[in-house]
Amino acid sequence: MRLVGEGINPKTVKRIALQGGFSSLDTIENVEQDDDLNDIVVLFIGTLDENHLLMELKKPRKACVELVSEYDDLSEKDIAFLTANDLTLAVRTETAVKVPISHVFATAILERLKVSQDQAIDLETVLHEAIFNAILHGNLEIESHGEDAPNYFQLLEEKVSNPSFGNRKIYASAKWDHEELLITVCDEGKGFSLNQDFYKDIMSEGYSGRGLYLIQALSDSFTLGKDGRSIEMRFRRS
Amino acid sequence: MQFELKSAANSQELWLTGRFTFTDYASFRKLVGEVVETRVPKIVVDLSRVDFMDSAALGMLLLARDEASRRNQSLILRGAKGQVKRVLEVARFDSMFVMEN
Repeated sequence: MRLVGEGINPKTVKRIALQGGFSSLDTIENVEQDDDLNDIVVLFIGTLDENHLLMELKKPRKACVELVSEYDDLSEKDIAFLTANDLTLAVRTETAVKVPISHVFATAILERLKVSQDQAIDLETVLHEAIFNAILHGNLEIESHGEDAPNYFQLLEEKVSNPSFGNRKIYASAKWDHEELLITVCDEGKGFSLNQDFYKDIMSEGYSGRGLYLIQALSDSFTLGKDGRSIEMRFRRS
Repeated sequence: MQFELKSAANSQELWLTGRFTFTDYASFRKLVGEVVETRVPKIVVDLSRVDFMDSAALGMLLLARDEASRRNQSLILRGAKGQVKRVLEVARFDSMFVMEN
């Protein structure tokens, strides 16, 4: 993989690349759009807006990773996601709340894969619900929202601005072959256990609890990770 | 998400634009509180300009419907299309709300 920085000192990028055993680029400008290696990882610091993030996930990039500071290295978890997937977006929770990263990541997938319009709609919806769960129940450790938690948004804002929660990462990654698209969303919270009642929530008219139902209804299958911090969602390609 | 309120003879129309998601919770609830206090018999939530909606937004619509109901007001969803229509259908909101095209 080749690392390149966005708004980061090139020396920092070189240090991170050396530490991880990768190469580095001073700039991506000289890399042609038809570069078929698709191995460029963009590192950035500080929340980018939606259009900027969309740009940083375009081909021939394979990943975009937000660092908390110039003193960061890529973590083992970062490297595991980068090497195991065709496309990865890893951002701090604060960025995931401010920027519609489900739209950004779905757009990046659709730049690389042809899917039907209906499947594109379902893909972004499922991705968003998984990221919403990862933000709220995962990294921010907020159990509920809706009528039973009318101050939830205030709590969300408070926790996002607290670095010990706001700097936790959300990972969205995708890999695919001719038969299947596999999307994984992962957080750094305490772990989420599946609510056994979630199948009946859909007709209960409760104010929350529909996220996993939508994931189940709109993906071909999904699996929750054993540690409760990840979810894998599969779409058949046909 | 942007909001716009339009008044008619016996109704208030709440026009939403953009993405309607969990980050809109506080502003949407505040707006609904203001609309239901007008005591009009009918509230229309126009979704024709909404291009994405999540499960938190579904919960917000149910909250709005129930707040309206407590004041004997009806709440109607109008103009859903694309992803918004898909999510409302999958969540069976057609059996929980009056929906208009």
